[in-house]
Amino acid sequence: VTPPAADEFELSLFGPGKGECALVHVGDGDWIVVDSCIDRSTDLPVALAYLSELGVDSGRAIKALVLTHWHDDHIQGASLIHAAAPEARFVCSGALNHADFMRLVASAPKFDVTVPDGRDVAEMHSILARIRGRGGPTYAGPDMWAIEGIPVFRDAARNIEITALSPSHHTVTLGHFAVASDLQIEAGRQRRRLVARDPNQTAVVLHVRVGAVVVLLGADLEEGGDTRTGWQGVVGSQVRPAEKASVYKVAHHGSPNADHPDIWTELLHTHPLAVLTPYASGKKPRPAESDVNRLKRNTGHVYCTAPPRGFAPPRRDRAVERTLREVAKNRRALEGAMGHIRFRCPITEPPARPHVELRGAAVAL
Amino acid sequence: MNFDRAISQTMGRQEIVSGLPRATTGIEQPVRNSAPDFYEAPDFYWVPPEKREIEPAAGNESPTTAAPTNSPRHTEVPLIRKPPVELVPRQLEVLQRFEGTVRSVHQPAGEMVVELRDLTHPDAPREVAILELSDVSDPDLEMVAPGAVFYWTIGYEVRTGTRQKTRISELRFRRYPTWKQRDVDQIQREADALASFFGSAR
Repeated sequence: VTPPAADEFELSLFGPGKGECALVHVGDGDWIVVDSCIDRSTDLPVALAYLSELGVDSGRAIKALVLTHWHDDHIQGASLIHAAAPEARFVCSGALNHADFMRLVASAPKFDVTVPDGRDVAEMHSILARIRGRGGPTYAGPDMWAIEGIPVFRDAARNIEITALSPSHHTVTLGHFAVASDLQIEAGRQRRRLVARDPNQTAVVLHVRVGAVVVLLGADLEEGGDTRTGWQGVVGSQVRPAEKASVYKVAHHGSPNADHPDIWTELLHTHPLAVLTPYASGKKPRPAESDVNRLKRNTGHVYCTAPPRGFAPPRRDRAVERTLREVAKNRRALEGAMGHIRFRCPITEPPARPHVELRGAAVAL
Repeated sequence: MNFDRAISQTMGRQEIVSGLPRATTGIEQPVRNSAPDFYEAPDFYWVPPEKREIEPAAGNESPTTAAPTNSPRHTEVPLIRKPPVELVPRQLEVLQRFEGTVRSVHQPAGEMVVELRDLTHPDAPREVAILELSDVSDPDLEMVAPGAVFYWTIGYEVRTGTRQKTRISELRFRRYPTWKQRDVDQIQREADALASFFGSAR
């Protein structure tokens, strides 16, 4: 495994079945990390493990860490990356900069209110408390809280600009965040773990332009049927960059509620390279077969970091297996071998023909 | 240990059946029930005296919940029974335990999507599964909501005397403690500090 050349663009997408992390090499050994998941074989954030495998010093190479949203399949291990790269810009959704969210975050270190591994809200608390402890971001610019149109990373000399396309101003205005009230932290009320529900309207979609290469990272942004929010809000935005992308990290694991025809016509070139991670934790694993068919109607180049139908659960004692078959339906393992989709091309030329490498559990759909 | 379990563990089934009174005296007694609890006595469970329907005595047409103390039927019933020597007639042989978290509840379908963490084999990957709400015991149903935590035990229940085995599957929901005012105040102070530092909207 060799690192990309100084003038080579790379997009690496990792996903073990539940979890997602993207790394972007913007040239000259500088990397942007978008979301985080854990590599079970090393119990480390996959971003740190991969950069180590490449022989790259994470502390110096990571220039920005973007958390598109705080769902547990996008945030596990993020605080370790933040700690390992103290000079990196930290970026998250501007819709989260709300007193309700801070209350939720503040509850994390003391109480068992998080999803099973306790790694989602606690990750946010660790990062925000560290920034506060430092007295503020170590970099200039109002770019920590991403909102549509705001560049979250820019280097004009190298023709690099990474711009947030969401959340929209309207989403932020709505204060589209009700998790803290869901938690109901009130004296006398019973505690429970938190299962994040619908903050996907607040996810940060990124438009990444590095030289001649343009990539759209769709996060988990959903389409809500309102022209001022979700994907319609992105398409209709007056402040988004105009360049179309030739590589698309498909939004929300290919779910139909995160798709819109205008994404494929207004934001992407025809037949782009589409990459995605699966999500095994829902009632219906994503992408479903219908999702794959829909994606393939838009492009012939679709790759997934793991089999969409999930991994087979481990075999257990025969009596246990009999009981499991009788009691549980649609049982599947959430995580398997880490899948990795890697795309590289020269920074100076638009990618003429997608060339991808598949590692681990990654598959072409 | 609740009363019905105590009954099931201290008295043999036949003894209870033969000793069942036809009317109550206000003292807790096992009553035949059509919906047995799995772990408890299969054929009995405790019904509060005020909810018991009493078969009327001859000449009395209306059911009552208050047994006449001078009824000859009640004077026949021994109120205190000596428990047998064996106090634990059944043992649980655990084969598998999971810790589960409810991800979502689908009421029309009577199902819940859960994430499972293997407590027996901690290195096993987490799993997701769909379970029937009908497999949740009635007292726990009110706790079934996204974020609720439960323990799923699979194993054999073994009668110590006969060594007869019954394969069992039990879901038990965890009842979390409540928030204390002190905790809430601490959270609010930390939240205010973060919100002030980051200039958060209110």
